Amino acid sequence: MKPYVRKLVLEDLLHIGRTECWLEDMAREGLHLERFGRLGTAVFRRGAPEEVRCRIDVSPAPPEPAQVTLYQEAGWDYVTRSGQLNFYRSPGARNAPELHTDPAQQAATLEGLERQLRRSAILVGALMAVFFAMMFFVFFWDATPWKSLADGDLLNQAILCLVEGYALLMVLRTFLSLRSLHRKLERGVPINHREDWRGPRRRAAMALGGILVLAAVGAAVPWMQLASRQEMNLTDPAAAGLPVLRLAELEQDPALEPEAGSIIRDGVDFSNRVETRWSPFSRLTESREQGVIPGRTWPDSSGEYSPSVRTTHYRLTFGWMAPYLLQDLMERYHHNPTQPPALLWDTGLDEAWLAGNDLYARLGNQVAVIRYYGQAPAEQWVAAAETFLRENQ
Amino acid sequence: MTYAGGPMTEAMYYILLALLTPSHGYHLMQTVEEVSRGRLRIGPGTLYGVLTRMLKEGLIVVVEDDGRRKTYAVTPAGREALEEEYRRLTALVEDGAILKEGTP
Repeated sequence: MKPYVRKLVLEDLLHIGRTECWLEDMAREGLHLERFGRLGTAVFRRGAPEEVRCRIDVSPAPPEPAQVTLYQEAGWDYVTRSGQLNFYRSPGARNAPELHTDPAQQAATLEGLERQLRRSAILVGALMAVFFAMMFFVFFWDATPWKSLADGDLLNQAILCLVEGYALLMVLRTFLSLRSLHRKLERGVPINHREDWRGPRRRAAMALGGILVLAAVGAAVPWMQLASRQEMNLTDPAAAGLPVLRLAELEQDPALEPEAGSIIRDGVDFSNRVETRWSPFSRLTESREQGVIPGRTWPDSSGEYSPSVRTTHYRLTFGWMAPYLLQDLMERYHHNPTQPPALLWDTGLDEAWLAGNDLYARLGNQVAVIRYYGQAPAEQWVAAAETFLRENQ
Repeated sequence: MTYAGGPMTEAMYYILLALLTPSHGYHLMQTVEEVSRGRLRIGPGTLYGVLTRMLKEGLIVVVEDDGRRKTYAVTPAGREALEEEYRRLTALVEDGAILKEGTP
C-alpha cells in the first residue's frame, strides 16, 4: 500500500469551513494532509485514523517562525501552505484553544484577499465579456449561424465559450463565497468548521468531468475534421458511394461527354471533383462537374454546349436543423435580387426553392444546393434533383 | 481595523494590559487569561493578528527576537491609549451606577 494518497481538490480551498471539515473527515479515515501538489491535488499521508481539528489561516505570507512557535505552544501544528492559506492541525487530545476567538479580528485577515479576488473577478469578467462579444460577432457576422454550425466552423469556439464561462463562474463563486464569509465574520458569526463538503464536492466533480469531456471534444474535433476531409476526382471509385448529383442525370442526353477542367491540383481536376467534410453536426459533400455535348451549341451561339453543375449536400446529424440551414444557404448563395427564390409547391420534397438555375431543397435530414448551368428544362433537372435526394435518404 | 483612539476591542485591551510586563506569545495568552480571571481566552490566531496590528499602530514594540520567539512590550503611545481606554471604561461604569441606585 502506498504511503501517500493524492486526491483532487475539486472545490476551491477558500470555502474555508468546508475545506477544514473535509480535512478533518479525511484524518478520521487515516488520511492526513501532507501538502498540496500540482494540478489541484492534495497529498495525504496514510496513518492511523485520528480525531483532529484542522484550521486555515489566511495570510499573504507563510507563517513567521515566531508565529509557528506560538501556535505550536498553543497546540496547533503548522502543516502546509497553498496560495494565501496556511493550514494547521491539532489532535483532539490536546484540547487546544480555538485558533481564532474573535470573528471580527479574523474578518480583517480576509480583507486583502477579498480585494485581490474582486480585482480578479472584474478582470476575468471583463475579458470574458470581450471574448463573448467577439464570439457573438463572429457567429452572427455573416448572418448564417446554422451554416457555420453545420460546417463545424464554430464548434470549437462554442465549446471554448463554455469552458471559459465555467472558469468565470468559478472565479465569481469563490469571490462571492469569500465576501459572504467576510461579512458574517464582521457581524461576529464564527466560521462553521463542520460545513458539509460531500454534496458540493460531488457537484464540483460532475461539473469538472463535464467540462473536461467538452474540452477534450473541443480539442479532438478539429483533428477529426482534418483527418476526415477528402478530395478526389469524380471518376475515383471511392466517389461512387458519395451523394453526388451527376450532370448526366440532369441533362439526360446520351451524347453528353465528360469535359476535363483546366486546373489540376495534386492530380485532382478542379472542375470534376468531389470533396467531403465531416463535422459533429453534418457530413458535407461538395461536387463540381462539367461536360460537353459535341456538335451542340449554346442558343446564343457562344460556343459548344458545355453544361455544369455544382452540388452542396449536407446530411445533418439532427434533422430539425434542416429548415434553418436551408434558409442560411439561401442567404449565403442567393445574391440576384432580380430572381427572387420561388417556392416549389408540387415537389415531393419537404421544401424546395428555385432561383434561376439554383435549387435550394431539403428532405429529411438532407439539405442541398444545386447550381446548374445548362439548358435542360427546369421540370426535368428539378425532378432529377428530387430523385437524387430520395435515393440518398 | 486601524486603531484611531476609539473604543478598543476586548482582546486589544487585555493584551496591552498584559504587556505592561514584557512578554512573549504563549505566555501572553496565559497572562490574558489570568488578568481577565479566566473570563477571556484568546486563541493564538487572534493573538497573533492583534499583536501584528498593534505593532503597525505603534502601540507595542518587539523588545527581543531570538528567531523562534518575540517578546513584546507596550510603547508610551500604547500606555497612553490604554490609560485613555481605562478612563473611558471607568466613566462607563460610573455612569452605569444608576443601575444600582435606581432611576434618576
